[in-house]
Amino acid sequence: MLLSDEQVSLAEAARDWLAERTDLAAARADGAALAALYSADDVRAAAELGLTSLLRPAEGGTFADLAVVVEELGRAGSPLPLGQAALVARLLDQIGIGAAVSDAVADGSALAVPAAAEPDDAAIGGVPGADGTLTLAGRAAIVVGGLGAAWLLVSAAIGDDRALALVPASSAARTARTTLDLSRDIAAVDLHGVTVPAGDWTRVGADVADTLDQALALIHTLDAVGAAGRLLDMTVGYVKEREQFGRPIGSFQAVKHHAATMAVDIEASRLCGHDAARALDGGDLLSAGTAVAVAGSVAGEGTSRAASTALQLHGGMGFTWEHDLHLFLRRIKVDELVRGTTRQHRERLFATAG
Amino acid sequence: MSVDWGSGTELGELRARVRAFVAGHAPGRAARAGVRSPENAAELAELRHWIAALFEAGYYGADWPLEFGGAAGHDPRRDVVVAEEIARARAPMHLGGNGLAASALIRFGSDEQKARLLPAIRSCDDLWCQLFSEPGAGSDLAGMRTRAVPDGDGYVVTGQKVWTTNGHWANRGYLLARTDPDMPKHKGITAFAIDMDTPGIDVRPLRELTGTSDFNEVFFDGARIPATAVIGTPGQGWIVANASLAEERNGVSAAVVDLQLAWEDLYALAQKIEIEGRPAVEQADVRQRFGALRAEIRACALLGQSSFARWRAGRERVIDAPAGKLWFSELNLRLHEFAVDLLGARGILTEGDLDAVDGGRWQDAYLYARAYTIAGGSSEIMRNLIAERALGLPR
Repeated sequence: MLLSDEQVSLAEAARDWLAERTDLAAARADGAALAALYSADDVRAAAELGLTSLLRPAEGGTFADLAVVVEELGRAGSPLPLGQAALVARLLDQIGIGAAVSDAVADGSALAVPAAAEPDDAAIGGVPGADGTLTLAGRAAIVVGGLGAAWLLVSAAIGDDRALALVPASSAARTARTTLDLSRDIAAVDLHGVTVPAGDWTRVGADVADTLDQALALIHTLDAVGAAGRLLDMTVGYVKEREQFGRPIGSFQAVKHHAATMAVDIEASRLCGHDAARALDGGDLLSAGTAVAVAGSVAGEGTSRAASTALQLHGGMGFTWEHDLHLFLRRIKVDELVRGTTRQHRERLFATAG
Repeated sequence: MSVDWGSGTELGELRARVRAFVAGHAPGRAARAGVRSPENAAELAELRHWIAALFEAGYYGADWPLEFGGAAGHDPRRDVVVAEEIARARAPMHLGGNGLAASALIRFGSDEQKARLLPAIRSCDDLWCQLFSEPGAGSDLAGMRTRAVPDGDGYVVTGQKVWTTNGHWANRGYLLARTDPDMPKHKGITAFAIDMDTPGIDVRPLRELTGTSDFNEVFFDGARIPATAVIGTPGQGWIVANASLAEERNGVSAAVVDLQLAWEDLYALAQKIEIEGRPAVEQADVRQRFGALRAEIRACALLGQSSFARWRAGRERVIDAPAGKLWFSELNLRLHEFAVDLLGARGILTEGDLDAVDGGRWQDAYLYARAYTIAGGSSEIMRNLIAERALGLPR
């Protein structure tokens, strides 16, 4: 259950590359345009590192590998929706539509992200036409990477069936959202009246539909773990340097205990996140669903608590706009609440026992 | 019921064998939570018989040196499976004092000590108690003041120990005492293997908040012990003690099974409870607590498994053991606080009351849960360790 040497190398490569590429100052700029967050060149470079093809069956990719990369995206506070893109490439390969788009995502010439209703919202509906088309109705209230993506993989319901439809992002009405999160591109996507040609959509079984839901939830959990890890490093560094009463504040036991609690919360959250990734690789939908909910429950609370403590330990410094701290605190809260809240994960864990 | 608690160490065939063995040999279910002392001589005899049977079957002591009954090429994952299956049957575990003494003797004992003392640990003819903590030396264990003053060909011991599990039953003691008061505090301590019937040793049972007596106070008033009782060398006691404490690796995996069983029992109980005229299991706050606890129990298992895997790979980190200990002990407390609260007004009834739920088991576990957040390094000491040694914060 420990990371392999290859996974450690992958994490290090992703970490170094993201540290060089990520401009947190851009996230702080008022009304920052999407273009300021990342460029087409960033996406191409990520693809060259293999980060968007990590999950393609032909590459032998695993969710366990993706977990390592997503954690680094959170740690960097990166705007790039690479986990979501890698997931789309995998699903397209798996269901046999959009081969060209899958290749484009893998080579970095285009970005594609999933568009699905939030768990508590009404599903996006699909009505099949006699000519083999599918007409969509509904809305995905929160789509991470929705503005920068060229393609959307829409999760739709046809009655009790589930379907996935690949649509050009330009065919949907997209609105930039104003959210707590300043570091990512988040859009609302309205799909009313979008007609998907035959061949660009297909009905899918529970294996595919559940994998999409579970993987999307897990991407946010692991992102939060990475971001919280960054906050722990920042906090430990700060309390070693900051002096009050003639000594570093990190020498005070009240501060030590807070920092230790952060470290334990993050460690537990990380272990649960990676365990859920392995469970997704294992292919048993029920076990994977449980493991994803476990991770969402433990990390949802643990990473938010760690972020809150990080702010407290930074004192007034952490309360300033100029400090990076709030960017991660904001991001972690968004990760906790989208694609399944802590509350929903816990309800699932209760309801599936016995 | 069968709750999916996630995957762990498999070794399926061994697990099935151990499960059958435990079912056939273990004494009856323990009524109370945690590590409790036998209440009478009959229970003690049953316990000795059970532990001896585990050694005899090779389920305990397989990691010992071959000449003392260990197994060649021992796979430490087997120890995890054994610990888990004993916990699953709610059977008594290895006696803590015997385990600690054995690991200290194996690593630091003389050939004479090993030959004399290890066989009686296997057969469980000897019962050991651990004599470390003192009234003035709990978290600051190295501040102990019990003296062992060199005198002729031995030592004279004077002082007081406390929290001595099984002290009233034990015939052997694993003692830490200060032999050189002029050395820095960690360096003047020596470890001893002593006879508890030595004149000048007085054992007095201590009654705890649970109402039961599982620990003792032990008074030393000029007790004379031979130089051959020293484990390792004089002044090496702190190193001996830390090495033997670090050998306690399977605690978390067994503790996780305890938590899983408690959760499942509480879940079954909750089906029968009504709150404000509605079934408890239909109430959102109850469902939320159960869901959160289920996740936290899985996290506890993963902390234990990961720390074990790191140890086996030679990649153990400072944070591993204290993180597991903290997580388990605080989760165990939360779970049992929830249990007592869930019972509402009936939650106040304890063992002895006709209407006590499950014979007062939940109330006993709720009170006993404090033993885990305090003993073996309190939560505060664990957090200090993590902050100073894992995160590098200044002392």
